[in-house]
Amino acid sequence: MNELAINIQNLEKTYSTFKKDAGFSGAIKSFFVRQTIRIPAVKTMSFSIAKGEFIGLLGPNGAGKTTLLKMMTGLIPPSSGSVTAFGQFDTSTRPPAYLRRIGMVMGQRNQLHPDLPAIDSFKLAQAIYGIPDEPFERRLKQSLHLFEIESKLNIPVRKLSLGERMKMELILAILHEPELLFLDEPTIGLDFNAAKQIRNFLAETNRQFGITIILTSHYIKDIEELCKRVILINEGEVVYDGSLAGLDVRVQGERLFNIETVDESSHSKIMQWIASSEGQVKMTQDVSSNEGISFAVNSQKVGETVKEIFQLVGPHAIRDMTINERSLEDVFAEIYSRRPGATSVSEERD
Amino acid sequence: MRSHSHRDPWELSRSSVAWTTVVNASWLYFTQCIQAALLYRSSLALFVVTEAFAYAGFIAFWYKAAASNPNQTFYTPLALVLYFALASFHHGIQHHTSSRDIGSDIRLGKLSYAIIRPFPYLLQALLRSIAFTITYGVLLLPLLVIAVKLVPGLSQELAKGWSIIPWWQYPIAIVIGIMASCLIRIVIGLLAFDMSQVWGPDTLFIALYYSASGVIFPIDLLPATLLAAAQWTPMYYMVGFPVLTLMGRISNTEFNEHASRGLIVLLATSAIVAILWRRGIKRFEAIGI
Repeated sequence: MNELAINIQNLEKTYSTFKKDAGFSGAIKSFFVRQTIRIPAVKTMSFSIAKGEFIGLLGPNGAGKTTLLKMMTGLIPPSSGSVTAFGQFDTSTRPPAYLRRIGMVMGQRNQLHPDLPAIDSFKLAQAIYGIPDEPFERRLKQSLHLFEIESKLNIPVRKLSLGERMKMELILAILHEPELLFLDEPTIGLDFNAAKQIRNFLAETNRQFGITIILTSHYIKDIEELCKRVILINEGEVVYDGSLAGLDVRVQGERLFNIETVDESSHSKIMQWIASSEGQVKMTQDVSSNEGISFAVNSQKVGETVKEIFQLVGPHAIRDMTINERSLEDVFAEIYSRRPGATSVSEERD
Repeated sequence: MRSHSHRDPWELSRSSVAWTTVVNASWLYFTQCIQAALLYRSSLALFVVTEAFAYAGFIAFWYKAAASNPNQTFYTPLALVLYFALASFHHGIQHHTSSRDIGSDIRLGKLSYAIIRPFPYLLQALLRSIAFTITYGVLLLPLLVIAVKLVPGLSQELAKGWSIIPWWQYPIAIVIGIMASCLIRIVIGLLAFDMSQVWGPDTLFIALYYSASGVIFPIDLLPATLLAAAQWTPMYYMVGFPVLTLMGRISNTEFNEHASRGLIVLLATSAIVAILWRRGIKRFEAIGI
């Protein structure tokens, strides 16, 4: 069994916040009496991450990804349960020996000093982590070359483009050669080329140095290109933990039909046929008009399905019909739409 | 794949934080704060011009006030001019904004990065305050020199004070003053622990600063009881203490007493910083901005 980078046991996090009624009267009322509410951001999670893994942490907004990431870094303590790093560190106590072995990049936060050129922030990191000149220069040179931003090293950070700044942020995060790198949406808002360069850089970092990387992203491309394992989170719970290939099989095993009918009666007949299919045909979109019906069927049954529909309503009742492979986005959306725990979609892991 | 146990030799020291590393990083951070401050040339120029007007206004007002009351002998008009030239300088050099910086660090996520780096955040806040103080000191010193040169008799008045105090008293007074200023402003930042909520504690600080520091009136004009009370606040050490020391208005015995009291105030303020930091970081951790 691989050594563990992170081991999470029965992790929970609940936030307290307050509600305010709308308008000025609400503000006055809230000034004197506040109604406190507790929000469970993470509900009883347990999983582990081996050294050298590249993990994609996915979920819709508010799913609990960033909260989980913050508990793993030690930024916030859990309400209950534990996060143990490298088999010895309780991350919630932020021991210096642990902090020296991790790096973090948040796509919507800056670590670089905005007024100074990036090289000054790099030099400060060198001083903080006590990095000798030779490995510092080597790693900096390699990283700048990989990102092709050598010429931007001495320009104040606030004058850099978003892509250039994010590249510098990534370089800053890996200069001390962390063993564990946390990335919270590092490609957010970046153009295609910048995002691709960052993906290449991360893949190379993971491959060459064996750094364990935990990435949250809403961009499927990031996940497809980088993560061999994905953990899907929804409403604070893990709803899928397994290989991307495992998800891909699920994806490739289904075809997505989109049908538009010429009249309401044909539309109703198809809807009734789906309802009576006993789960063989899965609705992917709730449509109540005759504008279109979307559903997924097993790829082995595409021909049979087309035949049944034609027999049911006749070919002239179909205005348009398309059959496509389902995308990862579709599968994620479908998984997110399920209530956590209602349907098990977890893949058995070793 | 490269094994982590066979990486560069510097990695062997990862488990411990060497004090030389902290010193090197602190020095570099301190110089970078000064570099960053110097980048805002127009803001700094505006600051100097504003301070020059404040100097002139205060000096003219109090000179007129002292001259219109020839019966008082506690402050001669020239002594008052000197007091406010020095008070304006000390006020100006402590015109940094570390309390708001802490708030913006939280809002911008800097605190998140800072607390997962092996470099103490509060040390950064302190270094930043001292760096700004020194930057403003260098900028405002020429104004003080100009004031002393322009007003007839002022340089002799200053020399009179210098001839009374031992040379080492002023450096002690100014260091206590700068530390009091840095710590009290960090306290304000930590009281709110959020930029949008800092105005409340900041307003309270300004009220206490104006009453107990001696920035808007000579502090030793206060009745004895109030002066004794003010001397137990950090505000007195920000302006009044170094100015009175420079003017030779504190005897050697009084200086030792005030300096000792100042150190106690600094220790107490440091303890408050530690308590508020622990309270604030818990609050920060609860919401994890």
